[in-house]
Amino acid sequence: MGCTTSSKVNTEMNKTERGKKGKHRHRLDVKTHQKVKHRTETGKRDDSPQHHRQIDQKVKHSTETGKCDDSPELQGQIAMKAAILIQKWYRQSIARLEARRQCTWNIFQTIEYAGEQDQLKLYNFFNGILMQIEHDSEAKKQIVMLLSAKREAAIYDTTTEEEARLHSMTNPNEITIDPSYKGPRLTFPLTLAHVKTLIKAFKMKQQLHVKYLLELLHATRKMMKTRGNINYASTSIAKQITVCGDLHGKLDDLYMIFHKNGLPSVENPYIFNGDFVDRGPMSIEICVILFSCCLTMPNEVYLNRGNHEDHVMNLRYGFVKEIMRKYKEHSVTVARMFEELFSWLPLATVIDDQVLVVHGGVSDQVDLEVLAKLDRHKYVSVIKPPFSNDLPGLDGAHYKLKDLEEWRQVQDILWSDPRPIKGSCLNKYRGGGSYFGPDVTERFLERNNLTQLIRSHECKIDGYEYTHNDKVLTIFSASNYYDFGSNKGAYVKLQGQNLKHHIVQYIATTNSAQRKLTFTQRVSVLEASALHDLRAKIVAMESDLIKEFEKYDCDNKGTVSLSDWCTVMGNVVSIDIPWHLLQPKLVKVDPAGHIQWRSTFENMRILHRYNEQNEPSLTEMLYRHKDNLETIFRIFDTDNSGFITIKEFEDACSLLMSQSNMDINVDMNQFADIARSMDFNKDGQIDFNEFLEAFRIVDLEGRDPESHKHHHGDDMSEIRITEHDDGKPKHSKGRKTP
Amino acid sequence: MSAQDHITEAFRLFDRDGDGMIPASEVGTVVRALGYIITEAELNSAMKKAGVSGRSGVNLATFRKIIEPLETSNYSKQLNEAFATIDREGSGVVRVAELRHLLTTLGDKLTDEEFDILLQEMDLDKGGEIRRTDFIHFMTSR
Repeated sequence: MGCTTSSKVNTEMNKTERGKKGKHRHRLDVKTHQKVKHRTETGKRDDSPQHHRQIDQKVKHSTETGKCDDSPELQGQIAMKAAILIQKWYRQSIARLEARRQCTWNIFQTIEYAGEQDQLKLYNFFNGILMQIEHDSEAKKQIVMLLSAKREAAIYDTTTEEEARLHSMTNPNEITIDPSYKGPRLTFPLTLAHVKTLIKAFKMKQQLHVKYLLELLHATRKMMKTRGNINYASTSIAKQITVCGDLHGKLDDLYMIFHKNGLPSVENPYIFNGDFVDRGPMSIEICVILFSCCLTMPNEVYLNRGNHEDHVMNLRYGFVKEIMRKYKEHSVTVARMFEELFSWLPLATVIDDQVLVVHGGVSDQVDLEVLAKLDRHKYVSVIKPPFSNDLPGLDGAHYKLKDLEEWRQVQDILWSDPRPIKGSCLNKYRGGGSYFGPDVTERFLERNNLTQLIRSHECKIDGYEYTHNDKVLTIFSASNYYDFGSNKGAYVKLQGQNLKHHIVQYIATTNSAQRKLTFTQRVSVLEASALHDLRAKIVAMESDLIKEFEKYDCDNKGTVSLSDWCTVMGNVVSIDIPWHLLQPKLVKVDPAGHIQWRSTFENMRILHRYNEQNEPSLTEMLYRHKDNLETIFRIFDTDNSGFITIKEFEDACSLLMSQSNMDINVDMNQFADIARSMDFNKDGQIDFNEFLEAFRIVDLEGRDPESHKHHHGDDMSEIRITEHDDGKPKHSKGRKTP
Repeated sequence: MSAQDHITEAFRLFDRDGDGMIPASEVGTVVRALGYIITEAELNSAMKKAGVSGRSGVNLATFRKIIEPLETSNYSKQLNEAFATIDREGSGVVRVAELRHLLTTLGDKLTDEEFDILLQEMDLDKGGEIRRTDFIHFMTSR
């Protein structure tokens, strides 16, 4: 026992750590530990109250008179008391910082998973709509077509037909390169020189010409088709292999990994464990580099599919948006090729017949033999069940039981999370895959003669985490995932015959200002960012909150108790975060200690630039469902132009209305009004990105600074490889006050 | 949502793998985060009294037992006075070396690493001095 707050902060300050056992995640400096313990226990002190009062008076006296005229012994005791006080305060400050950091983390992660649940609800919602719409109606056909529009590949019986169709749709030969193009050029077959050219070009913020991109995607797809569902990697030549986790479009993290660990080669093989795209701004570039590595070093670079290598996810989480922004009129073609390629990515990699690497996890249903034999290509999106010739129905009656079981396995591989409780059950938190307990892992490993599972999928504050008696390692390679300083990234090297783990952590920084922040400053900035996101969620539920609070505030005093406030917030905003601890930052208290519940959202407003009447409940509804609206818009936008018709816009809004539980009377004309005010050219088309970005949360108290976050689609001002605080904390001089 | 309070929430926050236990090594952090300003010795004796041995994990019930006899308090005035005893001339600054010596050799000793962190978190004058305002600000900021 004893002091370990320092070791925790040291971990935060980026000490390199080795793999650990069980719960003692942080490296305890055992020697320091023991020293502190010894000193505290044997240091002789007179702890009697009278003695302390005496000293207090002396301290007071010397502060007041500026004189110190006591015996050295008493002086010593005064100094001791001062020391103890400062030490207590110091430890408490550090602990408070750590708690704020954990709280911030909790907020980010809970909001993220709530969003994923939403995604699944959206899909179920579509199915629900289908059930309601009249048979043979045009609308139904339209929606069915939209839900399955991009899975044409599965329709055709013969692969040659499929190939022919794909090539006619996405033929790079018809594209010419303008002489003004200064970006990287590729010739096939690729060489390592091309890989290095690409890396350099992207550092200089160049973009790969669409012709080369399509050629690359075609070549990669062709290669991936020759791979099985399960890769078999061996360390017999290199005697080691490196496994990386989620990258999510964060190119600076990939560069950091290459900088620290070297480029892939025969001596330096890599496995990339999925989720290369979405959320971050450089998903395309990451894919280009990883795919070109695969093509040039097919036996040294292995890619596993992640749950984000999935068209439905890409509509919502930013990849399609990035494609549209970078490749404009070619974006449909590019998106189609990526989608096609993703469905050919292998599902798993086994190292030396000992270690299984998959993106999500396992379950009792996962059978490696079934997994090895299935046709992975038909799972263009794992969120929707595989294509059926009949109309998809909720009850699954159109599918064979075997098909559904197989689908469930693929979902489990890509979406599951480990948990400490035994058994497995559906992962309702995420909306897909299962939770699996230590017993499930044990059984699975035994059944398949394996020793360990390495997976990714979950962001960990330290970049990695061991669980299930160290049988499961989560490795996550996107640092600063939620915002700068939110978490480290990490990768793991498996070395030697026993595949011993060596974990390397890092934080990518993009400018020197970030590097100079103190722990306190980083926590504060991060906390402000999380609270901003949280307040946005709160204000989106304002009308529901008011209704609930009024039930608890029967006398209409405007106050409720703390525990009632927490209950209402938890139930209505529907996220499980520490409301008691967050209360001081979210709501005001009257002198008697009662919560003035209106102040939770009173000074915040959601505004929308094009909702001129500013009908608040309409704005609130649209804001609440903004993410789902975006997905629907993108589905309607079949040519990826970023524009939909006024009619489509109104349809989307009213579809959402029918799903929303909000008890408001919205006049359909209001949607039409908004639509019309956004039709700038009067050509009947609306730029829906413009619509989505026109929301603003205004805080009349000025609490929320401009978010420091990188928004999806922003380019980073500069990608520089810098490492953050490698080694012991140093104290530096001359920093400005924040 | 079941009846929760500060203590449950703080406990859950640090129970990262959700198994209902916090490592003994993190108990101090959670206790202090809840507002208790205590020395290592006070923490150890509170844990012993609650029946925690060695490096075992601690569950919520035990955690409550640990906290029960402790008191929160607000020492910020005394903090000022403590600083003043080191700052003999009343100049409002204290030399880093002197503070390091004090905090790493007396009382509830900090390790050198811990002191380095303390320094890192406070803004320093170029001359290796710590200003009282920075000092108090860091210790009391919420």
